[in-house]
Amino acid sequence: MNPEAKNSNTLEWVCIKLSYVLVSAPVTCIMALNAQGCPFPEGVCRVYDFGPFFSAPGSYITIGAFLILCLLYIAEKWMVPTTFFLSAISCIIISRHESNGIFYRATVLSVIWIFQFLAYLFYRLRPAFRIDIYRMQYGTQAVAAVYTLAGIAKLTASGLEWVNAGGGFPAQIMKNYSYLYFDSGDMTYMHSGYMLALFLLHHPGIIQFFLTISLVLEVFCLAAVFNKRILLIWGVGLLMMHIGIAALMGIGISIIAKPMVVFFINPLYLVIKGIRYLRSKWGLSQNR
Amino acid sequence: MLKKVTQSLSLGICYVILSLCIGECHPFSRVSMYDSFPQDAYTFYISDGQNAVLPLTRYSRMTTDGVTHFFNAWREYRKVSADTLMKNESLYAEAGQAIAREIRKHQYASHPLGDFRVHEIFFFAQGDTIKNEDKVMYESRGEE
Repeated sequence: MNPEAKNSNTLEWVCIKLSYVLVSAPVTCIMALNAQGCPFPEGVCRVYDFGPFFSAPGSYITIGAFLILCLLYIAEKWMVPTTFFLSAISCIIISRHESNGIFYRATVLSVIWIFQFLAYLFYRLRPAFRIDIYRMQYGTQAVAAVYTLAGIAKLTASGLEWVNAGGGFPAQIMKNYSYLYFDSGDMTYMHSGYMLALFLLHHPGIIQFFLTISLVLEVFCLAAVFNKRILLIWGVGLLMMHIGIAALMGIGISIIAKPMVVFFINPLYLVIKGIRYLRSKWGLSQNR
Repeated sequence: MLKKVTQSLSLGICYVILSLCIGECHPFSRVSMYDSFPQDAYTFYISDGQNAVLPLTRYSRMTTDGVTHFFNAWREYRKVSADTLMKNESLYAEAGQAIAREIRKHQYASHPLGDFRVHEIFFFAQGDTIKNEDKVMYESRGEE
């Protein structure tokens, strides 16, 4: 690899690390603070409930340890143990959070930490392993695998008929808008939801079109990992899908969208590259 | 080419296969959210004695979305199907009581909840319109 490509690769990785910590750390900390009980044990909490980790002082120690590990991860220090403990703490926090019955569907966050740990472990075991490529590619694979699973779940449960949602989709819209009404007491949410649901009930072709695109994007997501240009296109497509779901269904952007943007699009890297490009263009035109 | 594909995606493919086999056990998941669109969609709300809606987030740190997740977790944990629950009135009231307790557990000290009712509401398309059906699950007394 030539030095310029190596620098670019390192910058890309630093941008991914910074962005991933920025999107995953706040939600992980919120989950740790809200994990008050364990009425429906899930994940590792089926074996042990990790109660002391989430007691009044325990949750702050857990969060503190997680944040210190995030700093070590950004600084690229002791990556095998750092990513191992990040994976372990993430699994404990998300399992405990899901054991409350109220969950953010944040599975992907742990999967990304585990895949990055495996990349560094393979590098430790086999120095010829291309860590410069796979530490990013494994993270991308983790996100893509979760989307592929979502696509497979739809095909398994409903088959290709999933795209012909019929009256079920407008009913879901009503449900999601009613969340906003029952939370706030503001009746305008119900009115907006009803108008939108009614419009889509009368125009089923619109739902069919968007659901078909969503299904294709999810089922074939792993295939996009091969090529950076396809990955970028796929990332933009998935981002549009999430924005569309948020706008139509009256819900927030789901958690998986954030690491997806980091690993598929890497906006921080694109911005830095864009600024460098403009600088070089501007510098050249100044020198002329 | 095939070797390149399997090499590049081996970890992702392994995770997909393991998740399909293991199911819901973090960090594995089948990611089954919105995998089907049943003809009706349900959620829950709380009301006062006159059936006027009490805005949940004014009284509790829970959200309506969270209440629905809690109900589904309760049902899965108790291994109760939706059909069984609808046919068994005492079990249905028990589910309502569990929801009421969870809401009270997260209530704000500054806005204590008095007596309230837990409702389940169903939305469904009928002909060219959207309708709803409302059912009282449980009446929670202030001292509970």
